[in-house]
Amino acid sequence: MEKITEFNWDITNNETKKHISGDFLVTKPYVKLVFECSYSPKYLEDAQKGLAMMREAIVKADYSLSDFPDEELLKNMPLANHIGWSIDSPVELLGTKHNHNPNQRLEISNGRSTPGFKNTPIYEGKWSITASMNAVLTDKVSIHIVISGDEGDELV
Amino acid sequence: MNWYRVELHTHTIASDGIMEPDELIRRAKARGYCAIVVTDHNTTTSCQNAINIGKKEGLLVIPGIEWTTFWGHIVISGGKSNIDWRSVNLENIDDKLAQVQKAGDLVTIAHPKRIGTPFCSECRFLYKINDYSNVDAYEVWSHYDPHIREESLKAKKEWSDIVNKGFKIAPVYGYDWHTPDEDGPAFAYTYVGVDGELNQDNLLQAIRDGHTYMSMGVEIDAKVIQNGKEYFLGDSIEKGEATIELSAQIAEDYSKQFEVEIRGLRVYKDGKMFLAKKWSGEEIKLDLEFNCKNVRIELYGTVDGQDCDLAIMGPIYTK
Repeated sequence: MEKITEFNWDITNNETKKHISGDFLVTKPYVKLVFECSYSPKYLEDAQKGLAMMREAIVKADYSLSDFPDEELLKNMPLANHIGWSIDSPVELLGTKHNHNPNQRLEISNGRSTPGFKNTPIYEGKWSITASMNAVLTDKVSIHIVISGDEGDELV
Repeated sequence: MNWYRVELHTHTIASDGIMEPDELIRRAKARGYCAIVVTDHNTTTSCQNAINIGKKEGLLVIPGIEWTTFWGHIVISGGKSNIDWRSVNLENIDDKLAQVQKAGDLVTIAHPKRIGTPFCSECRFLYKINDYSNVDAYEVWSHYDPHIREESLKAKKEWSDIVNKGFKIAPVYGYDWHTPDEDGPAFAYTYVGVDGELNQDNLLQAIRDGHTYMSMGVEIDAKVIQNGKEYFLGDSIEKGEATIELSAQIAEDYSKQFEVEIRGLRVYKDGKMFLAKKWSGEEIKLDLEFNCKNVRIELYGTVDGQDCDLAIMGPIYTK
């Protein structure tokens, strides 16, 4: 396995509802690409901030706050950040991992891609990974992505 | 026309579901569905596997995807369109939905009235649809305990308002099935009235045509007779007199899990309640003047002792 590149992005909660992409070149005949994607923190631990967010959402959605006592709302704590991952080959969008685990190891190959992604040969050319900021509730989130290529035989 | 129990909103391990496609198919069969749509968040990679397993197991599986965008979730059923979900935004939503329909897929607005972020990321539908002819179906009910959720009442009101503006949009339930949920909270079913053989094209066309109802385990036979001709939920009839014939019973498998009692029905004309009638258990015949844009019927009663709507039927429209 050979490291191709890595991305480190520091995101603020102003960037929620945005896609952030990183391009990279594949220049060797790999049989598999591995994307180790993570973000931190996963949770908003500050109960008062969380309560304020929940109350605001309830009111915005035209529900009555009186139906949501604080002790019930606090059962939703800690609230969670959520970031999704999409991978584009030089040919097409291969898929998206919409999952709540903040640490994802995503593999792309011609026969055994991670569920959520199409199987594909590892074409040489420009690839990209996109982090979709589904929910950034904490003030900041740090995203770390390491991309590696494997030239070895693939088990099919 | 035959009525089929279906589930139009399911997830697998390709997104945040925990079931492999084979487990989803097995459990769908056990729940008595005749068809399901696999609608993972922003990916279709489980669909072909699920279709293949469904063929072996005798379950119609339709490919789909749940666009999980920053401003709401939209279920696309049929597997014919190929639009990058990341390109969908507040400005182009009508165009994107029109493209989906043009390709032959079905558009369903998913769980529109959930509170959304921070409880459930982007689950609330925030798009402003300018032309609802770009929408085929609307999840009036979704997920667990739809019969007692406030979001169901809010969704029903919005759906009814849209229908009363003259758009034909089928009411559907979306279980939003992520986990096995054995002995879990109460759920509902969508029933679709299909002409001809049960296959993908006929099922999706039946939903487009509005031949749907959703219920808490109640199976309904409803038709409208006008000038000697039979019509069904979702059909358009001439203005004037017509007779609605309706019978209902609790599905045997559902009644093993939940105690359901039908107490009565309500008839709405253009969204306003026109008639309420107690349930006798017999077939009901209603002679009605269709002097409005649409007539729709709801059943009410109890599930496990709680008062609730039991069934919401697709409207009958006037030409």
